[in-house]
Amino acid sequence: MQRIATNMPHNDIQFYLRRQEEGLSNIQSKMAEQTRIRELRDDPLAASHAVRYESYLARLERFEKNTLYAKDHFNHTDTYLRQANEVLQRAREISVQGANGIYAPEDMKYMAVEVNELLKELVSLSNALGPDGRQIFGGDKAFTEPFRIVEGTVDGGGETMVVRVEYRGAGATRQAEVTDGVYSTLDISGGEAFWAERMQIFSNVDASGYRVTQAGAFYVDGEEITVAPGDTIQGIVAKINDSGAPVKAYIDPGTNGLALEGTNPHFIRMEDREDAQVLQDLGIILANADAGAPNWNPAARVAGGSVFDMMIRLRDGLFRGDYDFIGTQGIGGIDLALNNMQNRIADIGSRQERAEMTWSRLNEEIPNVTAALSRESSLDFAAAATDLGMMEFAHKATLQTASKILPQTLLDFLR
Amino acid sequence: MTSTFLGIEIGKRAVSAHQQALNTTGHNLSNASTEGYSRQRAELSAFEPIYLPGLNREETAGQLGQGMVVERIERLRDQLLDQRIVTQAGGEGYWGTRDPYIRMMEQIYLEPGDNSIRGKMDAFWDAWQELSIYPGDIAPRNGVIERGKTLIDSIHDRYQSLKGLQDMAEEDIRLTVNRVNELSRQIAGLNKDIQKIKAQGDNPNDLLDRRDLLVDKLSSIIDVTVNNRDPDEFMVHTAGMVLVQGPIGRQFELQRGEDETEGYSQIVWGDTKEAIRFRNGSLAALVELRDETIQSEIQSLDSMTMNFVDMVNEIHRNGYGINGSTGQDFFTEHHFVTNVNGNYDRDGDGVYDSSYIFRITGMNTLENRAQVGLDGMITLSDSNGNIQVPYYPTDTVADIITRINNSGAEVTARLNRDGHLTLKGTTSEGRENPDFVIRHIEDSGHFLTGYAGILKASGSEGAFNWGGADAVAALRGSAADFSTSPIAHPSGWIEVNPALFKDPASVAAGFGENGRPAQPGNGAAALAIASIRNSTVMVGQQGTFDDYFADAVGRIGLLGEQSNRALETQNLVMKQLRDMRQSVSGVNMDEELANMIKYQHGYAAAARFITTMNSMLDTIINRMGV
Repeated sequence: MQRIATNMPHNDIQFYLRRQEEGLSNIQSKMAEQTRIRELRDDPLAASHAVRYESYLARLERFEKNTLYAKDHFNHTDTYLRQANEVLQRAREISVQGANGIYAPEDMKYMAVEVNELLKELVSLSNALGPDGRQIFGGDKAFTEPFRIVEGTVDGGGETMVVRVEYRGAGATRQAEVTDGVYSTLDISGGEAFWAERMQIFSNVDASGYRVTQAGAFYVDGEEITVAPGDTIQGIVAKINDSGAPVKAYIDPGTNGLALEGTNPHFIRMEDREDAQVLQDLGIILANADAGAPNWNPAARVAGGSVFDMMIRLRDGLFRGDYDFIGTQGIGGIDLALNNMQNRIADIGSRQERAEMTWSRLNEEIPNVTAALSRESSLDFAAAATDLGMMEFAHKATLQTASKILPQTLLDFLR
Repeated sequence: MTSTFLGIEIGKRAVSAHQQALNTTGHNLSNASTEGYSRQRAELSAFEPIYLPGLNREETAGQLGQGMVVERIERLRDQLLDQRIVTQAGGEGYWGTRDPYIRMMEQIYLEPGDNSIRGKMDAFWDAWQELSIYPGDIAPRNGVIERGKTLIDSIHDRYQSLKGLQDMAEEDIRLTVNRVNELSRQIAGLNKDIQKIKAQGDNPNDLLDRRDLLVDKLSSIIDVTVNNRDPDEFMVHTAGMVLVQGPIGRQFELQRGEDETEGYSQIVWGDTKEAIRFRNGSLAALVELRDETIQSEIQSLDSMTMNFVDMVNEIHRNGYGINGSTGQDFFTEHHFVTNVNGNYDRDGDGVYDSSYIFRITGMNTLENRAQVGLDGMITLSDSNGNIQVPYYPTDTVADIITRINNSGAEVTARLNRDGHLTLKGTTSEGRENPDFVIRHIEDSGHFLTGYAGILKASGSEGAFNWGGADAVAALRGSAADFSTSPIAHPSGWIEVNPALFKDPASVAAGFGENGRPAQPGNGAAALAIASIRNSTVMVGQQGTFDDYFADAVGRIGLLGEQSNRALETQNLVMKQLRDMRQSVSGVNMDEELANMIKYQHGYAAAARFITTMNSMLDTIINRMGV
């Protein structure tokens, strides 16, 4: 038989009451804070999952913002490109009309004036600003007008008119992360959207005996192409063709010089690395020329112009009243411009669609992750309330028992 | 012939013995709630009967009882149970001290929630994402700076809180050591008194209770064993040594620590100055908390901070702000040594004798999936000397990197953004080695030399070793390809570069092209910084920052869970043991009251007996009418 010291029931009740009170206060504060992990020790593994989910959720919300921005941005770009497309359609109608040969030179002049207006409209579209104050078609040069006009006189035009439009923008590299490690390119540069023909550059320098003398590099459309001492022109051609740049290189059989041709209509940006002069030696570009503007060697032959070149050509043809020219090169040029414009619109459209899809996926994933997070860290209120009820009951019972048992001793019965 | 007054003598003995027994009962009742008190019992026994064999023996029926006396006053105590309690109390003391500290550490983490370092870091990456979309604007740059500042503030905050806990443990250790010394002195003093009283043949019950209580208290502070084999010399042992021997109580001292222990004190024996390491009890818990648990949390925070800062800076330095500035750090890095080659005079004799290098980057661009086609053995520093990591011709670069990171070496490897192999020093386990210092790199083959472009030559003669000045001479790269070690605890002092506060336009968002500053619409650098959060960064053994934070939360939570459960178990075990002791030694009022009635009746009966004897004598003396 165990001997019970008088203090033992006291100690017992103290011990168990303390435990019950701790449990009660614990569950009460959990209910107040609406979390099942008030301290990490409550469920360490769930806590470590929960922090991952929290971070992931923060990331998904950022991706959602990025995707929304991308969507809006693509919408905006799309609007301007469609506008440009409409202008070009109108120019095409005029060119078909002008190629007819039944109009008097004065009528043709009126058409030319209209084409000139359309050209101005196109220039203003290409230099459009986005809602955030950026040039839409400037590539990374966000705050510089990408197309610069050069004015002069045109035969039969009378006043000064746009005679040349130069691309001053940069390549488009701005990206937004839309999913972990997946990036969406946001911009389309003017050099891509407002181009009509495949650009070609033919050097006039005979490169058959050319050898690279020191290691260096040059950039074509922003792609770095490194050369090593001893590289021949054939080696350089191969390196350009193997690079990611949308440019095809070959050796011009006439001059034995390097020739470059865009694989799609766009402005080809070229420059030597600071410490090298490969393209300069090959007669493609000028030394010390501003790489942000047309910098090719005047001796090189450059063909393949922008949408504006096509419009200017058409307008000038109309001014001249040369319907033969309009019917061939005029319409042809506008067709090429339209063709590229539509390709670019399709490109933006598909990026937009992708952003749309990402967005709807994120819209499903965010609630899913939120659910997972709350499964790990939120309180099951029903269970907590039941637990609390049971604890309160046990607590009450302990107190009641204590009040009944404790004061009774033999002392009460001794008289 | 027996004495006429024998009866009165018997009665007198009984009356005084019962009175004594009643007094003992009263003593018990009054001490029912005294801590450490064990109930006492007056041992009653029959007085020596007459007659003993001898010539003067009377011819009468014998032996004749002579009543009773109180033989001795005894305390009721189970010595074996005491031993068990002394052994077990260390566990309760250990977990009881550890648990609140761990709880405070958990609170420092503020997880899960947005106020944690992790939440702030998420906000920081988010700001870079924002900048990557609006690279030409100032507002997102201010956002990056402010969030960087908030993040750094919360890193400082955690560092200071952890450091504060460590200081608190140190303070606790000082107080606890004083307490141990005091207990040791008191036990020795009691031993002296007890010995004297025992020599008189008395039982020093209350003093013994007090000594047992002191031993109990001591046993929850340090691990002790009690030796009572020699009744004259009560001994207390700790960690295999004598703490109290009879009237001698040994003392501990605190010795101010060296640089290695960051100035924290070490417990040594007062007389021999030998260091002592306790295995159990609250003092052991405090020392372990201070030197291991909290220290490793600080190291882990340092390691995360250092890697984070180094990687953000690495990209930020290459980027351009919209004002065209470049080469700026986003966070200020303070180097431990100002010497560009990391040379440091470790023993202070005026000659450079070590190289403190934190990061080394290879010269060549590697591809994760490329097979190296080489074989050899890489030797790297680890917690106890060096560790060897072999590689074979069929391995890919990623295989070798994984093997290095899993080897337990105090060096981690990763490919940086440009595909260059980067080796970094981690925090070090041994206190004699500084944190964030690469101590040894050697390759018997050509992976680290020609392939990755880190070392100039293979074999031991081409090894990089920190134990000498200009160790960087063994490296292929120039000063731009390695960085010297930070001063200790980067999480305590790192700041956002003040130059960026002055001119937020200097915050880099884009990479330049061909030596020209980045275009204002280029957000590549901001995007590259934002992508650090997902790339393999190797914070110690953890691959990404997500891994690091999840791991830290799990680790601290599990420590908390463990200490919670252990404390609960210890509490229950101790409660049971204490209940058992109470069952033997505790005062039961009912029992005492019953005894009281018993003794009262005994007293009354004895008194009655004396009265009876008295009247008998009265009869003889007064009534017989001689």
